[in-house]
Formats: sequence, C-alpha cells, structure tokens
Amino acid sequence: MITEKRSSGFSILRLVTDQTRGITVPIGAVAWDSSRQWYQIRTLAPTERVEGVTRQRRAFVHVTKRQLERWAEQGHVPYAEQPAPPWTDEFWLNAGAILTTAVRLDPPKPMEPLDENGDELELLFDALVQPQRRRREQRQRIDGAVRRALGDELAKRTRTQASVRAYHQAMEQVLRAARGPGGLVVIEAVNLAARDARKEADALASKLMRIGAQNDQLKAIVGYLASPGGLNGEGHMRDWIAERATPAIFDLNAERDAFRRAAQDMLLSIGEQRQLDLPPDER
Amino acid sequence: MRELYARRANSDRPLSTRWQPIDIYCAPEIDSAEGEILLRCKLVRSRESAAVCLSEAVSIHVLEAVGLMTADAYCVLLSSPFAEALDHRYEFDPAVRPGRHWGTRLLQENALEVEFTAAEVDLLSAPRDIFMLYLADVVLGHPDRCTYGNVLLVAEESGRRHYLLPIDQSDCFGGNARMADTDSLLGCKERSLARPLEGLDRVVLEGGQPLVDECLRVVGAAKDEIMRAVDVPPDEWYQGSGLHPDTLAEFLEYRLDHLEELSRADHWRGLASATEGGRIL
Repeated sequence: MITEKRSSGFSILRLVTDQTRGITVPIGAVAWDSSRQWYQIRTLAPTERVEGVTRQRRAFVHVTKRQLERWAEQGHVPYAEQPAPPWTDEFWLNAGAILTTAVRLDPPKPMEPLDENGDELELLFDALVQPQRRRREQRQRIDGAVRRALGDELAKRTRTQASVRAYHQAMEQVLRAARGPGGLVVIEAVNLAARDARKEADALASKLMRIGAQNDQLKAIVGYLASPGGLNGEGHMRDWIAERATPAIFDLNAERDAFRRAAQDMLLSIGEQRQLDLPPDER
Repeated sequence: MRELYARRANSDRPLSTRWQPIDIYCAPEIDSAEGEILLRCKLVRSRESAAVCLSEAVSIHVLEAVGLMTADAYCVLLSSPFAEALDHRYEFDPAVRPGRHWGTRLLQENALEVEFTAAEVDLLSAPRDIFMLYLADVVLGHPDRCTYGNVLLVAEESGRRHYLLPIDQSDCFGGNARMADTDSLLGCKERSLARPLEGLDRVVLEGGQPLVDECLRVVGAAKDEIMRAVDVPPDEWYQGSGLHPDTLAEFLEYRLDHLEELSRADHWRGLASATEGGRIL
C-alpha cells in the first residue's frame, strides 16, 4: 500500500523593489502541514514597516494574500495541471510558478511542523521578514507571550511595567515584577527572532546586571521567543544572557512549563505579596 | 509596430501558461546592448501562435484607441541561431520560427497580475476603466479577461492609487480555436463573448447612466482608429496564421456597429438607473 508522505514546509513571499537588479524584500511567510491539513499565511500588518514597501506596494501584498486564500479555498491554482490542497508543497510550487510580477513566492522548503495556534508562525514571520514595529507594540507582543506562558494566576501576581531601583539609584522599567519579604522577582522577555534581537539581548543583559547591582535579593527570570528551528542564529544571545544576567532563561513556547514552574518557585521564595509594595523611594 | 532585436533570454523556464512566454532582453540594434529592455515574448511556433500574435497586436491598438492604458508593445526580431538556441534550452515543440514575434515590456516592481475582484475597485484611480475595458473586450470578442493575470494593477507614479492595465489578449476574436478558421471566426461575431470583471456592477451603479453613455460614445467615436488596428500587425503574422486582415476588419466592424446589443447596454443603463448614480446605502 502506498502511503502519502507527510509534507510540512514554508515559503517566503517577496516584493520586488528593484526589477533591474533583481532585488526583493521579504514581506510574508506561508507555512503548512499536510498531516493536519493546515496552512496559514502571514503578511505585513498595517503597523509593520519594511524598507522599500510603499503604501502602493503594500496594496499588492494584501491583494496577493487574498488571491492565495481564494485559490487555497478552491484547492487549485490557475494554470496548474492538477488541483492540490494548500497543505501540500505542490500547491505552493504551483502558486510560485505564476506569481511573476511585483509579489513572488520562493520555492517551498521543508520545516519542522509548526503549532496551529499561530505563535510559531509569528516567530517565523519575524525571523524571515524582520519588520520594524513601534516600540510599544513590540512590548505588547512580548508581554502577551509572557502572560500566556505564566498563566492567568501567576500573571495576576506580578505587576506590569514596574519601575525598580538599579545601579547608582537609577530607575529601570521592567516587563513584570513582584516584591516580597524575601526579595524582588523580575520577569523579563526578549524576542530573539526579531530584527533587533542582538541589540535587545545586550540591553536586557545589561539592565538585569544593573538591577542586580542594586538588589542583593534579585531573582530574575527571562523568557525568549525563538524563531522556529533557530533560523535567526540566536543561541549565542540566549547563552550570553544566561551567563551574565540570569541562568533562568527559557523558550516561551518550547519551555513554557519550565518557565512557569521557575516563576512560581521564585514568587514563592520571596513570599510575594499580592500588591507590589515598593519602598517609598521607589514609588 | 516598433521593432527590437532579441539579444538574450532571461527566463529559467517558459511560463506554465498556454503559450509558454519567455522573457527576453531586446535592443534597437542587433549588435549593441544600448537601450536594452526586458520584454515578455510570445513566440511564433505554429499557425495558432501566429494567430496569437495577431490577436495581441490588433487588440492593443483597440485598447489604446479607447483610451485605456496598455503595456509597451513591440515586434521582436529573432535570428535563426537564437531561435535554435531557445529550442535547445527550453525544449520548445514545435520549434520557434526565426522572424517576428510579439513582446510587451515586462512590468514587475510596480505592477501585479491579478484575478480582479470587487475588492480591488477601491484601489483604482479610474474605476470607469472597468466598464471601458468591458466594452473593448466586447468589440474584440475577448472571453478571457477574468482569468488570473489578464489584468495588471499598476501603481501610479505620482499618486497613491493604481490603474488597470489589460494584458494578454491572445484569445480575442472568439478565442484561438476560432481564429484558426475564417468561417468559425466570423460565425461568432454575433455573440457577446466578453465577460465583465467582478466589480463592474458596482462601478455602473456608482457611475450611473452618464458613465454607460459616455463610454459607449467614446468607443463609437474611436471607430476609425479601431478599424486601423488590422493594419498594425506585420504581414508575417497574417501569413503564418492563414488569416486575412479583411476578416478581422469585418469582425471588428460588425462588433462596433452592434455594440449596443452585444454589450447589453440597456441592461447596464437599467442597473445604473436603479440608484440614478451614487452609492447604494
């Protein structure tokens, strides 16, 4: 009996920015998995920017996404010899063959299957496209991931955007914090799949070191978002934070349970109070 | 038609569409790269593909005559050695004929091939072009406009919107199969044949009867220019396809003289008068 081989993969959507020199910029990612009959497309959101993508060209991205979704629903790409469902390499090969103008689709590449919940596709998108986002949006995204990893109960026990004392009495803002009789817990996070990953990792390590210099009883835990398969080569950044700032560093998706347990243990160890009582000089 | 010499191919493989176009760099002089531009070319390899080139050349003249934007079009001169090299590389069967072929300037970074839907109407700076294109397709007997890639959205240079650019008119005059036979071609002249793009209803509703009447008037006024379209293609394509300019002229004249009924003008006027123009709330 012949069994169909499982196909899970991804492709990159690109926008042509210089036809003469053949220059394109990535503006989207597609991923699929035949065993779960799943596919998803992620393209630039209105608040995300990529150099070379003007407003007019952004419209091309949206139109192309709509077209791909229509063909996916029909299970057939125009001019393809055979129909193929959108969770197969064949579908995306066929689509790539007829996208020959402003928007292109790279040939499919195999990949470890992604979770269907969309988080890993977001990370893949970040790693491939590296869009510029407003700082506030970046923080909201990462805090959302931390909140999901902590769970509602633990999340309620920490204060967001807390200010804490750091080296030479400077104030630093952290993602989440909790204080108790036994010390201070700081929960931070970094997106190692994003375009500024290296800069952010360095800044985070430095910040935690400076907070530690002012707080003997600091317990720091860091969660990170990693591109699927480590496409962004982020291992060294994670190791640097572990070596210099805190050994408690966890992948928010792959090590979610470990992150949550470690955070819980830390909060218990400081005898954390429900409200974050900061000394008067830290209010 | 302007002529350019084919100098070097740029495609890894022919497109998977019916006529297998390839992209070729072409220049005004055979022995110089100066002024080289990249064209998407449909190559004459058979009687049918010669008819394709005819269809394209006549059509683009008609589209321009009614004021629509079109791609820059050229006659591409291909030498025997280059034709052989193309056959060898791309395994064309039947083989490419040396001589004249059809080419249009390739638009990539500022243009997108689309399967046009109503959602794209809002991107256009001139939605009326959808109705004008429909009338042009009726004149040309073009049944294939709704197929993916037969219109482009092109970003305006100075504006924020886009214009509609019809591309790929290889199947006019009722389609390539009918072009193979004069009787069959003329036998379909009384059929409407053209299919409007999605979104045309909305454009007519918003434009009202003035839009319908104005577009019909424009086409009517362009009759003489439209009829000159049959003189545009080189004799080589007429000979290669077995068609005669008079056949195409007879077809076009009939279509122009019966445009009201072939385009179902009364239907569009009726639709337009449903709101007497303006938006539906």
